[in-house]
Amino acid sequence: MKKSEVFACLTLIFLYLLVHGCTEPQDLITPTHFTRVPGVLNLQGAVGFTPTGKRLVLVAWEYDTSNSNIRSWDLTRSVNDTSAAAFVPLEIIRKPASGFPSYSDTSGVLQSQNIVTDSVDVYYKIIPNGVLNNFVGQPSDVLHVIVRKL
Amino acid sequence: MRLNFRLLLLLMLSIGSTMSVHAYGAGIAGQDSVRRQQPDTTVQASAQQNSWSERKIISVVFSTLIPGSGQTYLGHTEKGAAFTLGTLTGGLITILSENNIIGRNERLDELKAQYQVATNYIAADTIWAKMVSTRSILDKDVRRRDLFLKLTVAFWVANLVDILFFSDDKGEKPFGLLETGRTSFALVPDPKNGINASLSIRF
Repeated sequence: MKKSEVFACLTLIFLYLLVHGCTEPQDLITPTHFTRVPGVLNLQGAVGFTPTGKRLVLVAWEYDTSNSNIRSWDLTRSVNDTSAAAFVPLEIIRKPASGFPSYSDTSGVLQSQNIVTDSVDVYYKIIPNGVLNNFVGQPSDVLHVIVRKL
Repeated sequence: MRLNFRLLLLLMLSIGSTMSVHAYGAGIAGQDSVRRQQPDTTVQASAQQNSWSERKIISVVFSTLIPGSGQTYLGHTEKGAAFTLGTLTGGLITILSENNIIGRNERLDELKAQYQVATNYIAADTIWAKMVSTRSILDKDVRRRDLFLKLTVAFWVANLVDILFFSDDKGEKPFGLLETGRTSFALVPDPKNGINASLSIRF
């Protein structure tokens, strides 16, 4: 083999290694956590009374019914405190057979005789739970309800 | 973008290879013409100027392997040092960026695995944010690596062009030659005694 051929081969090998030795950057995967569990939509609250005269806060929300990966919602509540640690689980709401879920809160803290100030600020947050792998979905925005003393 | 870069590299490769092979071929052809045209001394002298000496061939091999070393070998020390430093600096930054890319790819693999097994939205979203951030830094690493890879290749090709066409042989100098106004010091190979140290002082 001639020297020129050796030289050309070395050049070829060098440049081949230079180009193909470079690592390709990995692509990001498609995010699935946004839609793995249907999010809480249109969260609303209303203050009212039960037929027996107790104070009641009705919390209702909707979800994307086309996504069937939902088993229940954790309803958490905080009174006069917006910090994340202050939210305590109040109830597990099962997926209704039809329509959208709701919850009627008639706890003692909402009753007038227990309210020492003019009003009570009550905060609700809903956390959806999926069926597959028990995935805990995106928490809802905080719902702020003001319950005034009668 | 990546395809264009590869095309550019292949173009430079073909130019470099063609130039080197043609130049070497011209040297061989020149040597052949010297052998054939013995009677005409003018033609012989001209052909010998165009032909490649053994030192020139060695310098091309040196410059191919370590850019700038061929120029230094032929006596162009400053030019050779510039080519060597330029190529080594570009190559070093390219290697460091490549190493970063490999590391960040591994980090992305690890985050993907964590993302797949995350059991709640908050954890998955935190991991996703890390993945997006890592990917952003990875893109910067890739851009830096590609830029310095191009610079390194450009230095290498420029070095080859220079050694093939623009670097004449300044003649062999003793190894370790140090010269001042009145003194010179050199290490001179000796077939009988190995290496002789030579010190000259002019009065």
